[in-house]
Amino acid sequence: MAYIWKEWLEQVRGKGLWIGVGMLMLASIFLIAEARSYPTDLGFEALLLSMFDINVYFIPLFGMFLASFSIYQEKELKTAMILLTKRESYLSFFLKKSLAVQLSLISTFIGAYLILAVFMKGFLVFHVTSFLYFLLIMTIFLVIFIQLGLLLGSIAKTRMQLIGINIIIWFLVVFLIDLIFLYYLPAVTYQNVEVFSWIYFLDPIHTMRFFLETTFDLFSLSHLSQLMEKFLVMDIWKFVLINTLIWPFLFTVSALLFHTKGAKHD
Amino acid sequence: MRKHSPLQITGWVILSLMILLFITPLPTLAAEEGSLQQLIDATPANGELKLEGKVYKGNIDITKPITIIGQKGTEIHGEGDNNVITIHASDTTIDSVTIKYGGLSRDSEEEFSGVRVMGENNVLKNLTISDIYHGIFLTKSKQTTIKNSHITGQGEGKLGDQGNGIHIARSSGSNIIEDNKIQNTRDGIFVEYSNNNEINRNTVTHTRYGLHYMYSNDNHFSDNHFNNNLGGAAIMHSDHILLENNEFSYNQGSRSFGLLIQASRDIEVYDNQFHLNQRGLYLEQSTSNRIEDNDIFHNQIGVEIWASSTAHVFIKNAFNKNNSDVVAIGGYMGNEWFENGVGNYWNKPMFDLNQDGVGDSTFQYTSSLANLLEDNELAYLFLSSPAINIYEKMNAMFSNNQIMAEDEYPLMPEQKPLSIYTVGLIIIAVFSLIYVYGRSRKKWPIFGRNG
Repeated sequence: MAYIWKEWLEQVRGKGLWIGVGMLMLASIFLIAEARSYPTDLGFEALLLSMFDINVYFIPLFGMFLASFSIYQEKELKTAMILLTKRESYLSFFLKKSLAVQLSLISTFIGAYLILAVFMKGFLVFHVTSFLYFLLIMTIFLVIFIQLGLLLGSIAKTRMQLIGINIIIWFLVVFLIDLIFLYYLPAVTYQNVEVFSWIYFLDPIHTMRFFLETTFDLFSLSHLSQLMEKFLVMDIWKFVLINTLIWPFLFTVSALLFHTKGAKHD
Repeated sequence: MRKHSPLQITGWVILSLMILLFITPLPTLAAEEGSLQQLIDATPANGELKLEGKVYKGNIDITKPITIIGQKGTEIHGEGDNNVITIHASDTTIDSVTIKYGGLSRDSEEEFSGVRVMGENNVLKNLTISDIYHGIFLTKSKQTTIKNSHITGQGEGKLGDQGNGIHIARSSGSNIIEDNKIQNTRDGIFVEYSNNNEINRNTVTHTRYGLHYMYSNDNHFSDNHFNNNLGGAAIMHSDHILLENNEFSYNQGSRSFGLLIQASRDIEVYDNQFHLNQRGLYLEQSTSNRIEDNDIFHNQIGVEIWASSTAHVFIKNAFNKNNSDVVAIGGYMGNEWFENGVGNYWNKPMFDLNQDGVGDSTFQYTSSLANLLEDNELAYLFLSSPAINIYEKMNAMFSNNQIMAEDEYPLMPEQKPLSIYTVGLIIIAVFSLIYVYGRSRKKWPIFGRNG
């Protein structure tokens, strides 16, 4: 509990969280204004999908930055060292810190979405179930990228290194992976499409978007071509579950294996 | 006289009752079945039959001009082995009736329907039809009106298991289909070998194609809503069709489109809205179609034209916020993107120094996506990816982009005043920024306590 309260106070008193939430809300408000011109029947769901597309930029960026700096500062300010020499193992320290960062960041972002929901309800036909699906997916999205940030903060030795690695990973996740997919797409055939499917859906951005658009009825799974039938190797919610479990677990294990105990000054 | 004991008498009575029970026909299905048919048979030609608010058993045949009017709760249930209502006559009206349980078998001489119309000048209105193969089937029918009816199909399963909402076959001449709602059928309205019909103000959702023309010329459809289908409307092998003021939206799937024009010519597409579809318009093996004054907004691809499709004229269309406005697969073929000094609204930055409402230089829409989309259907999965812009820029840098459309007279968008809502949202946004800035002036620095 002490970890959570301390983390919450640190995040709330810092600028980073508010800049992130502020930018997200600002962009979302403009999307809500635009969504008023959408045809009404699925207008709300189309807005949520557009908001997801905006979050693809914001969540990895702010989730990773805020989480990685939070754990890095524990090393830089020697609080981690004090805790680790007295009573904590790195495992328990990292797990408690993870829980604290996850809870404080997720609750703030969810709070921001709930405030945005007031605007949505004011301007659009609000569908509670769709909004809850959206919140669920954004929570999973935050969990994955916050945990990735905690890994980066654990392994970084200097502040410059941390900033650099954050930017590189963000660029990789948001742009580069899809760019690689696009260049290799001509090599995908009916014979190897199942392998492609697994690689495609192990990217949480792809999986979460596909889950939302199929759940919202914005992408039809009826009358599919044979290629698409084979591409969908299993129900999309199973891929959501796999992403939810596998990535945070891998990031946690990696952080425990490769963490550095102290911070060097640039 | 021999006396019978009370036990014997009771036995005889029970036996008599049982024999009576077996030899007397049950006053259920057959009687009720007969009753509606008898009521119809008893109604004189051009007479009116008012039904009670209860369930009547079909199937029924109508062989003379009559008017059947139901009320709340009036239902006609078929036997599940044929058409529920077959109209052989002309000048018949059926009004305010719920029709259910037509034959679903496909191992039969014909595909059954809720109502099969074979006469002329019939009116079907305020009907609710479900649990059938086809909803309403018109064969060699003229001047039939289908109005204000609600048809629900068998849902999403195998395509062959689903019939069409309204099937118009070999019925040329002033059939009017208007104000209907159709959902969960194979095609919402399927028109084959039928010319000169009107289809207006219908709403079709969750079907394969909302409206499907095959070998049907000189038809008109307007003010319809085609939402959430595999394809909004498909015009195939049909010429001289006018469509205006229709809304094609949320037709999403890897093969989806708002409007498909295939192997057809002289199609006029005016004042329609194509919003949030996989492809707004999809043109294939067609020629000489005119696409004018349409709003093509927020689709994955605004217009997809295959090289087999030529000599189309696109003017005064507004392209806005599509992931890709135009994709010409197989190369840029002779389609006209302007006519008599009028082009399209591209909503891209351009100069209009002489303020004549037309951009000062030719607008070229270039893209490298055509080859990618032609090669692999899965490319559609990446159209909303942030990487797609970088992909386009990289290909432009290496001169791999191809011209998709060339407009010598690009139109400048009209400047609209800000709405009160937008102003309100901007004020909220500004105050949010001030708040965030205000917090940033406090002593706590970025990313934590002392960072």
